[in-house]
Amino acid sequence: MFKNESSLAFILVVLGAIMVLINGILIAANGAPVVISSYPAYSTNQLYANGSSFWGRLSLGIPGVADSAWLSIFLFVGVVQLLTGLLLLIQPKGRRNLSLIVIVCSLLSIPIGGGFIIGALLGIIGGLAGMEWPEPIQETFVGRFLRALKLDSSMFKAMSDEPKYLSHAAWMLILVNTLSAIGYGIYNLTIINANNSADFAFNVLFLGQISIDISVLVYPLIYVGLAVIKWLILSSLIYLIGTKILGSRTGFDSIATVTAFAYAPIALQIFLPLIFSNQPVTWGLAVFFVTNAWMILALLVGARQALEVPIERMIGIILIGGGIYWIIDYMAIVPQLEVPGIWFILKPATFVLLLFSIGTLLATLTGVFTKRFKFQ
Amino acid sequence: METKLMSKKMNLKNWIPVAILSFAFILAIASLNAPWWTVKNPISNQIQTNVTNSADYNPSQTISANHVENEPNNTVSIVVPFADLAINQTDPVELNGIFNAAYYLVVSALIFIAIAIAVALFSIFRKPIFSLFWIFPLAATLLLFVAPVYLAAQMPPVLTNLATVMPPQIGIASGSDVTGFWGSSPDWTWGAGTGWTMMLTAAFLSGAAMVLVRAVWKTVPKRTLP
Repeated sequence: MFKNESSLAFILVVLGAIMVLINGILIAANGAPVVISSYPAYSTNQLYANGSSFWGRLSLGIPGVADSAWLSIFLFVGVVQLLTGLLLLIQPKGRRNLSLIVIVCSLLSIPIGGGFIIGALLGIIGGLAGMEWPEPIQETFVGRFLRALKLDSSMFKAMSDEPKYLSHAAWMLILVNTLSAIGYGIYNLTIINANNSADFAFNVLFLGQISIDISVLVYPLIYVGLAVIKWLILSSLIYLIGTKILGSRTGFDSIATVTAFAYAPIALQIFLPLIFSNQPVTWGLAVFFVTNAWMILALLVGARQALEVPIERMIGIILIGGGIYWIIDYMAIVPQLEVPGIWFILKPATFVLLLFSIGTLLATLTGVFTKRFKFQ
Repeated sequence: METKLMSKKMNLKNWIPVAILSFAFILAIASLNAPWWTVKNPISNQIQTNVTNSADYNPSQTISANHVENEPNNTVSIVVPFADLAINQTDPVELNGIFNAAYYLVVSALIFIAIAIAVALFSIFRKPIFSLFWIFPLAATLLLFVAPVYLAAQMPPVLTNLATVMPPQIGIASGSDVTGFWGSSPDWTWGAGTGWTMMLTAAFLSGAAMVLVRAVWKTVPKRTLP
């Protein structure tokens, strides 16, 4: 027992469930969600006054759950997650479907803080990996997602070598954009409602309230729909530059696969509604920049493995391909379709073209337009 | 033979129910030392006024009440018996009776959990002695589940009759407002205390331990006649 790597998934589930229970009891002791803020504040006026520095809060739990009988039900869910994890640990054979219960329980634990968020994440990761038992966790779908986040070049290499992973890549794209869209959807709706009501703004900032309604579900539909088009554009650009200009013999499917996996960091935008602040756009843009920069790094590592080119040339390819992609995305698609969310749009257009020209110049200097190279 | 016994002891699978039973035991003990019911001013009020008024109803049949004011720094802490809140002297007696009953239910559950742990340890170190020993965690689950449900059902009718559910030295929260175990009025909010939640969690964990005991010790080898 516990000898093979497959058990790791269930150990994560158990650890996650323990954290959920501890978080739940902590909320019971507090009688309300645990709200951690960057510095003490007593009113929204104080936070929005001129000269107020950045103030942010993290809420573990949702009001109305922590201070009512609902907490008991959510604690029961935490114990079910623990029990299911332990049963899987004792005898995983023939019980793979229990992993689905683990995932549902982990999601349901979020209103009581999700075990300091980490507990819910461990449960979801363990549950998803458990569904592919007895595969070692790193060879499962969720394992590959985590390895993409870690910028694991060996994973990207394996992805680009095997055409069968193209379907995994499509699922990855759907998952990533659904998570990102839910994050933006909840964040946007909460900010809109907070702007309309001072009382609601107080509840959001000080009590940990958030807004969720049916309109949040519209975001995933829009984001996933657009993601496929954006994925095709980015993959095609990298493929064209890599094969037609640099002469690499890689197939389009390899490039498309690694590109989809490179989108993995965008999924972290689900964490956007974790923090609300007196400067909502600053926080939104910070998350946008960090996740996109991370995605570019993943693309650099992944596409380099697929194209088998030196790193400096890969940087050049990303500068040209990414530049064209960015112009299409943020100058045509996002403004024309009025895509909801937080976007970084540069104006005037001449400035964008200047930046693109600088990018192309740098790409030329890295040798993108020279065919001779040696991959190490 | 020695190696076989050692490997049996070291089999982590056998220790899982013991760990969960121990977790339930610790929570049940902790529930006897933490408040079962709490009343305080709402969180939004606490933030805006920087003042926290709270009263915790303890299993020791006392009320620990606190007034915490941050600016200026002023803290008042008192402990009073239930009798101090009543108009009619039969009400505190009734409240004492409810707390006594819940207390004994939890203590009985603790005994069953302790027996279950002892039998589980014996099964690990010696040999499985009793194939139906999942009955002990089951009994503990029922007792631990009944205790908080009993409190939630029986307390509100008694609290309603109290002159105030908050010691007057801290504030006046009229008992007639308290129509349920959980609830709120514009000035006060009340509901289960930490001890109550721990009691219920211990019940759930004890139930989980019962399932695990059954999963680990499915069968006890029958003795064969020589």
